[in-house]
Amino acid sequence: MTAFGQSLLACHAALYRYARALCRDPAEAEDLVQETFKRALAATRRPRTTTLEQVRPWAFTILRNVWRNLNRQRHREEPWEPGTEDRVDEKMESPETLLRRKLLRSEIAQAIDALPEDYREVVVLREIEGLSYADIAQVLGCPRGTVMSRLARARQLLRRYLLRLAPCPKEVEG
Amino acid sequence: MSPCGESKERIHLYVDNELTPPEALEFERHLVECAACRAEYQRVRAVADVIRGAHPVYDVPEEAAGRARALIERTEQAQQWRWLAVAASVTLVVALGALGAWGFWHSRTPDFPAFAADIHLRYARSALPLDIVSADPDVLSEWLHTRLPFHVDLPDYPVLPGEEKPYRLVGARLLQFGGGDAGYLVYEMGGKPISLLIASTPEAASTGGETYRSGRLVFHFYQHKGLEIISWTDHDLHYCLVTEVATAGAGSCVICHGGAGERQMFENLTPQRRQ
Repeated sequence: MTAFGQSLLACHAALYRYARALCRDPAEAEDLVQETFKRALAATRRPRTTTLEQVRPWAFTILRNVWRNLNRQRHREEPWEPGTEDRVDEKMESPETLLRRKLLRSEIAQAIDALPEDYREVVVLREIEGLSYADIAQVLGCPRGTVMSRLARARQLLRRYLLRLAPCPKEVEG
Repeated sequence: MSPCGESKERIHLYVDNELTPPEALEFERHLVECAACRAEYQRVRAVADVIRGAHPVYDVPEEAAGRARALIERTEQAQQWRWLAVAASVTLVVALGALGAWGFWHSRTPDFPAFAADIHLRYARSALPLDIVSADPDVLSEWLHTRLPFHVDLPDYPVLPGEEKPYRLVGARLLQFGGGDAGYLVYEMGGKPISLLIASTPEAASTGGETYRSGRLVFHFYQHKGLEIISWTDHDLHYCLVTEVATAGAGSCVICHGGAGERQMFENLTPQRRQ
């Protein structure tokens, strides 16, 4: 396998997670990653170097383009905003509340899945894959400021959703 | 309590390590002083920590990585074969091109023999008058000697007792070739002209054609416009002889030098590899 192929393979798990966050479906996510690999391997313009640092954001961009093209052929996703039932009295929630709760990984995945796509992908790229704002901006093809504002909004929504998922121990006792 | 306007953005930049060290220090000082920003920072930090603590959040199916590896290996192998095929095709095209160019170069009639053939044809249709008409080789040698930058001695045909000359001299004229003077001599054999051009300019040097060696001389034979052409170089002078007699290769020499006295010369002619 070439150095490029090895770097691409090393991105597999990260690409799958990104695909999973975009599709919200494991089988579709794998198809999306496979298609991304095919496009990446057939690409005539590759990153200058084949290091993982260079290949990873480039591969994320390809995956996102493949996803966008597929999505154009389907119905557009309805933008999601938390309803009144999702609203939490943030003044009553101390910052430690979230940490005190024993949230399952599946619940966190559920919370991320509940976000609109624009926020979902920025959360996955930053919080799960650890990409810098600059790399995320490159993947999304948007200014760095947009990355920051989407991330801020995504965290706000996530917080509300996570607080709603599991009742506070204090509330259970009461 | 809301965080300060400017600091609200900085909270996320700080949580994500996007601030420079001096900016981070300054922000930390602000956090100590501003309770509102401190509270917001803790809220943002808590969300980030919960998500990051759940890493990798989504499980990757074990067999998915294997399928990805297989896809990469299969594709790269196919690409390698494709590149090999392309490289082989390019090599073949280049080789065929080179072969074609080589064949063209060696099959074409060089400039001096082609020029000699044209002169011969012009003389044959009476479109090229001679400057001097004489059958005496000494007269023509002397005439050429005074007009050419090189010396030419025209040999008389060595006739043995009982033999007749197979050809006779007709005359000569001056020509220009390759920026220099060239001598043009006309012989006649069986009522047909034979042309001999002599030049010293390097452009007239013999190349290509069918080559034969005789001693130190190499003869080049061409066929051009239905004519037989022989060229050779001797003592820095380039000769080109044109006849209409349909013979090939060294057989042309026999026509003029077929007498017993010169038979040795053409009998020694041996074909050479193309150069």
